[in-house]
Amino acid sequence: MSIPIVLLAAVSCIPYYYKYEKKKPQTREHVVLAVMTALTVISRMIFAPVPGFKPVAAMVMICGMAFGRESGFLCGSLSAFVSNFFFGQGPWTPFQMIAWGSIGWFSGMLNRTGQMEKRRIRTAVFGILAGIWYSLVMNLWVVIGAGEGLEWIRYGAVFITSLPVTAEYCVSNVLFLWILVPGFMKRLNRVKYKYGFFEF
Amino acid sequence: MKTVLSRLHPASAFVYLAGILIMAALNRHPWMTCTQLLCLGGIYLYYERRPGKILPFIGIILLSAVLNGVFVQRGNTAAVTAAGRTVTAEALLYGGNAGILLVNVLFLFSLWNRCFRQEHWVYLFGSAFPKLGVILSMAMNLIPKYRKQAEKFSNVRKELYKESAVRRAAAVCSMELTWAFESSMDQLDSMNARGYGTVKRSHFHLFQFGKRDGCFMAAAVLLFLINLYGFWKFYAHFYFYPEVRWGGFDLKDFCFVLCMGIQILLPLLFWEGGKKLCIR
Repeated sequence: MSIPIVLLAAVSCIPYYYKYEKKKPQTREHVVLAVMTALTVISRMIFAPVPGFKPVAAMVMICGMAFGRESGFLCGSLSAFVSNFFFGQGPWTPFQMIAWGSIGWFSGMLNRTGQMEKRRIRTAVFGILAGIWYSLVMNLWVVIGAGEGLEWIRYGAVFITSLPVTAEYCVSNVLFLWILVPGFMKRLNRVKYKYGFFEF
Repeated sequence: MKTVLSRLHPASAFVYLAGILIMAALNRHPWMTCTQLLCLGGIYLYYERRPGKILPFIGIILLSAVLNGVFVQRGNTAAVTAAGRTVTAEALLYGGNAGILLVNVLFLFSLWNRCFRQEHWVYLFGSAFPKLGVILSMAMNLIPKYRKQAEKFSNVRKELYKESAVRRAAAVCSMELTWAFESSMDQLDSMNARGYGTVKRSHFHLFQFGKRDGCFMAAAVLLFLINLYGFWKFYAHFYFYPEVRWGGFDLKDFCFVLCMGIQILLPLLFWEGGKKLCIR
């Protein structure tokens, strides 16, 4: 196992957390983030018997789309951390935090104008890309967890052997996004409008 | 050991566990890896109570040795020749050593998950990032609450309507989401009413950094530094190919192996005896 890369993954969330602390966020943001994190963790626990087929990425994307990129990142990374109390912490936790956090961040980034949630095809394409990205990040953990260093040939070999799982991630992302986005976005937008979240 | 570690201040326990993790991931020298394997395996066996539990880990080491032996053709000493391929002893040993490394990390994380529980993580995380610590502990608190509520919704739907399971799941999901946000507003109001976020506040936690924790932390850091020095000076380079060269086992090696053993078994020195609950 190569310690520098694991440490790099572990500390790479910290600047963003620090930035959030500095911003002096309001109490309502805390509550919303805690609720979204709890719902994401529960969604992972419901699908615990099916390996790989989880709505976590879809939930994180919805959080990012509804509440912005910052909330998306925090929801993704915190729900990876919290849900691993039930699934087992390990050196893979930082990689999951990074992967899901970045998925949430990008979904918030792409939905700044509120265009993505209305076009289902765009959301589906983003779901596929997110599945591939998650797989790429987790392959990094597989490569460095099993061997000495990072070699491109081994990374490629791991990528090719992980293709079925990657396809599973993509299918689950697209499926859950297709089902969840219309209903969830409607309710979350209503909640946002009713309580005036994230509008200062 | 579990009781010792989980009663210590989280910072001390974290320093100890992280030190072992770094040493376990750095070391390639067989003496160091085998010392770690013996100590961590002993701890694992002590908690599992059944020797059979260790078999999968032995399987990992053997599998790693055999795979490396079959696929890697380097090394001078031929151990087995079959079907035109030569399996060298060096490749077998190298694979076994890599397997031991992986097993060490697995053993360590089983100890970590045993003694480092949610409240420890929340405390550590919360002292570094107070606001995110609040979010973390709120989320932990909300999870069982939401699960119970989802069960209630599901039971009520079962009694009220005749509908397919998929439809019920969708309805429960939708109600859960709305309910979660509406009830979180109560929480928000009560937090605001109690003045959260207006002034700097003290908060309750179970851990206090005492003399014992200080001693433990100092010992852990000292042993870690000694081992790091040993790694840097003597054990950083060990070559399996083209042939294994043993340097002999002298007093210096004995000292460093002992240090490594003490670093891992450090909580034993802080044992308080029996199952007697001790309140500081």
